[in-house]
Amino acid sequence: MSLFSAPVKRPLYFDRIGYQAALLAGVCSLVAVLILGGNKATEEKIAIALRQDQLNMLEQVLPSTLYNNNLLEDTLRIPELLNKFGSETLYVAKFDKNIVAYAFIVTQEGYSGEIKLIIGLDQHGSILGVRVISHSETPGLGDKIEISKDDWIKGFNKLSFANTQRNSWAVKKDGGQFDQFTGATITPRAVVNAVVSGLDFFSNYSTAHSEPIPKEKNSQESTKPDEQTN
Amino acid sequence: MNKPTDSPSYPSIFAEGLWSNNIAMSQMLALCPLLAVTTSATNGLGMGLATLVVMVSANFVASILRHIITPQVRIPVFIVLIASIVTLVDMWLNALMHELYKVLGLFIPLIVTNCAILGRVESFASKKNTLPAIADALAMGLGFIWVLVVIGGAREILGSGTLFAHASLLLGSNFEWMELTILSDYQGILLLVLPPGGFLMLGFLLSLKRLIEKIITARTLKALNHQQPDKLIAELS
Repeated sequence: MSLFSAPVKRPLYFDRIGYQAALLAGVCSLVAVLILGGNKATEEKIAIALRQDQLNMLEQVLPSTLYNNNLLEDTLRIPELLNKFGSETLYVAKFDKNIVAYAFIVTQEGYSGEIKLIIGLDQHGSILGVRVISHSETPGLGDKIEISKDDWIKGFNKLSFANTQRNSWAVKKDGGQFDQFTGATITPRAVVNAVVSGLDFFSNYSTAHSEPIPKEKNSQESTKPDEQTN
Repeated sequence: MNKPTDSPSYPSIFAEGLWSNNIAMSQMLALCPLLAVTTSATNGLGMGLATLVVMVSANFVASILRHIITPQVRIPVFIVLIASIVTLVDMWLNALMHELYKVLGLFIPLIVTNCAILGRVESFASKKNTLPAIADALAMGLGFIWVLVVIGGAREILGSGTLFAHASLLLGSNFEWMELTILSDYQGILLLVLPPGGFLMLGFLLSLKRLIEKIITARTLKALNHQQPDKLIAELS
């Protein structure tokens, strides 16, 4: 009590249990109102920011000139993706209702924790782009898989099972075609494996579903104006 | 011991907050966020600013409500108040400075558990008038910011060769001039970016502070040497 031994005379009701309960209740309800208000004022802005985050992430692997549908709404829920990689969304990019590309998230255990990647594939299954979304690899060694640190991840562009032999999908140390980093082999190996399992998923998926096979080849240099939806 | 009603002067409030009773360097509080976010000067600055906002609001509210809060329930009341202020800061930071939020997001909720804030509310704001309470929060918050920025800056320069990288995310595009590359093509001392680097830097900074204080004490002693012994004793005690 010494902390409160101010010479201020405190009213007698201060010591009643009822007053203290009411004080706590009053403070809690005031705070609840404030937080509700804050949530109402910010939730729209936060939702917009999160959508923009997703679009930015997708833009890295699916250039927005390629499609003209709303990527965030044209999604499929694939249980197999959920089982394999923990994220069930398959983003489908369409140009005038024709499917031109797909994107999905793959994960793989790296050197220290999970590496999360997003892969963009065109309708034939060749890679448009791979980017790291999150990882906890060693800074300065394993983090060269980030596009901001190194161009290594661009080495996957345009590759597919069709144009690259199955045994080339490995780091050079394992007899494949991808560079490992000095001092870090496990990280690039994990990324290569993640991409391979993503491509595996896609080839299963496209053989099981007839729709990925295009009815008509879609020219990328279309003369139609690009109607972007972002 | 001061009487609770005594209000220290503003210069002494700021001297305490910035140096002699600095949260991180003297009270040794708030070390968890300090060690965790100071991988760059910008992160440190962002965390420091968020803490400063929470501190000022918490001290302000606690000081206003000090006459209706009873000693028996003061701790739960203060914790509820601090937690809700942190929640509001978290929401607004997410809405208005989303890029920075993605960097700091994990650490903002941790401000609730920052004992320094409850400490200032409990030991200062709940007994003082509103203005000194705000001044105290500003002083303590600024003291925390400079420690965060110095440790963050030192780790960033030695660890990655830059200073204030991504500062424009925090302060707006007008502040791009702050983003410096001190050492280009620099491989960096990996250790300093990793968690042990935080401990090392804090240790160096603490010993530097002790050293400076030692020099100051030695100088005052020398100056006092030819004066009355009772004054010397008063200075020492």
